[in-house]
Amino acid sequence: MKICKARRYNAGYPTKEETLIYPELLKNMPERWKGLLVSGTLFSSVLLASCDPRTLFNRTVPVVLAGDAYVTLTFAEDEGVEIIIDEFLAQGIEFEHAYRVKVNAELPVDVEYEEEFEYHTLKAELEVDGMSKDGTIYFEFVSHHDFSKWTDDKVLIDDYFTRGEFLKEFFEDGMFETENGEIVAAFYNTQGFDYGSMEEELRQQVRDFIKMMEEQGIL
Amino acid sequence: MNITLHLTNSCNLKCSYCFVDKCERFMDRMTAFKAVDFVVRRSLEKENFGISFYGGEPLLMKNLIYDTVLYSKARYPDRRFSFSLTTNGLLLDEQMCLFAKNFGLLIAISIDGDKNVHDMCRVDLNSQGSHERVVNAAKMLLKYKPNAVCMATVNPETAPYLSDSVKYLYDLGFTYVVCTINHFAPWTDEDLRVLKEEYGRIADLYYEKTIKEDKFYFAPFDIKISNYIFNKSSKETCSLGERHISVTPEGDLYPCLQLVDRDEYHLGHLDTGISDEKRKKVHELSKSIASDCEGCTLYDRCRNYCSCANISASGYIDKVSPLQCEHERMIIEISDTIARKLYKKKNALFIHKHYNEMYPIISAIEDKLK
Repeated sequence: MKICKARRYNAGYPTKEETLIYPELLKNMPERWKGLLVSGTLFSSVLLASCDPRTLFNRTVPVVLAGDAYVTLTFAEDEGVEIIIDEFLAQGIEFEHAYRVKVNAELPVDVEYEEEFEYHTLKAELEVDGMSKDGTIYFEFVSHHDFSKWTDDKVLIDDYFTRGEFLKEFFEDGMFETENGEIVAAFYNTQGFDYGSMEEELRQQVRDFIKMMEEQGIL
Repeated sequence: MNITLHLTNSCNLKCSYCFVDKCERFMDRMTAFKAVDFVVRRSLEKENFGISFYGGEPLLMKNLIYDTVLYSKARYPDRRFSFSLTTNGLLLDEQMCLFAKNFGLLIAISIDGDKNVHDMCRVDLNSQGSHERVVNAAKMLLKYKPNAVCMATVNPETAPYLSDSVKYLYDLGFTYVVCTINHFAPWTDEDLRVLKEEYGRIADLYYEKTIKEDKFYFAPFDIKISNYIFNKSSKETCSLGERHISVTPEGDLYPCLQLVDRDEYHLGHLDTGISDEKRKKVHELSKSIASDCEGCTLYDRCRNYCSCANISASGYIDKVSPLQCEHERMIIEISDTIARKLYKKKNALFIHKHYNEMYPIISAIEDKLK
């Protein structure tokens, strides 16, 4: 038990101010309220007013609706893993959760610092998140926590969390091999504001990986 | 402005984790009334007042509670008061419940869980468990106040049963459950691991209830989520020596519950007034950043501001303990995971509960209509 400072943290859901760019947020009323709506009553007026986007705007001080006002969302580890397994299944490949399966791998890292490329190798022990039914292919959903375990390089860690593009480059091939030649698919944590498009991006990563494996004759 | 009246140090239970020095001290009517006058005098014209009745067991002083509430309302009819107390339930009766309902007195009742869990720590003066009696009282209270709050204290030995306890309390009828860990207890890393697992199970329950649109308020999860969404620094809620005063049975003034009877924090007396110099000094001290926390990105979301918790656990008003730090990080992470999932699902109840400022009003009306 110790005092430990959190260096970077992303709650993953917006603050009230940040939702002001989404006035439709309160539009959907809980089902339990709908039964209470009786035409012409004061309570019904209050209920309806509270769900009106215009009310949301009028109640709160406006903020800048662009740039830094946006919040960056990411998937929690278990959410990401569920989506990946689901997409594999949708493509006809059965994967399951892998618990306490560790593999050792060397991760090639090409990073561009101010137009100069640097090449690194990270030695990583992975506790993989999922594995194919036949145990030949693993996958790793790379979370911030995972990444921090592999390197002390704060710039790399910061980049992981702040630059989605970096991730795409980092895991361009979407896979790496372990010391024993096992294949590990690496899927990066997508970022954005809208979970729907983030999920689609993650599913696309899975489809790209499958396509690449098929092209190489592995699948 | 909030004021806590320490009506008595006596209690009809001897809970193993209680920090109150049990001795025969009882507040008299004049002291209670003077305390009300004091808080009104020191407040702005339109400010609301919170008056909490505290013990020992405050219901040992039922008549004083009735008198103080009635005095406040009669003497200051144009001012808005909110009254609250936390009881072990043993002396709760229909009269008090009815009074609470009619005069807006918020009653929170302390139940740690089922019989096994509750009776581990909460025993009477004959060392007999108090569970059966408190459950009877709780059922009566819920009849009058369906939104009554249940306060549960968690110890290392009760931590493995925490999620079952919360389910038990929910099934008993409590939709508002406030859970606090005992900061005095000797928690180990293993205890915290178990606690984290239990919080995880409560998170599942919270998620399940929210999806079903069943009302369920659980602190600390809801507090962490709400403070984040409204960008409220935890520090804003701490009013040590500024907006909160504790009054002992004899009328001595202290800045905080757990600082009562500590000479170094004595701020004055109802008869002689408060020393502003001392009050400011204590308040400044509570604002200073513990060097251990400097640079932590969770600083503003953490309970590191809470002098009570700091004093209990680290011995210093401005220093968090490793337990506090671990526990806060754990709670923030779990609360955010639930919030993220529910936000992602665009769950209407979650979104209205946390983003709609009119939710408390709607929720209260909804309860009345039922």
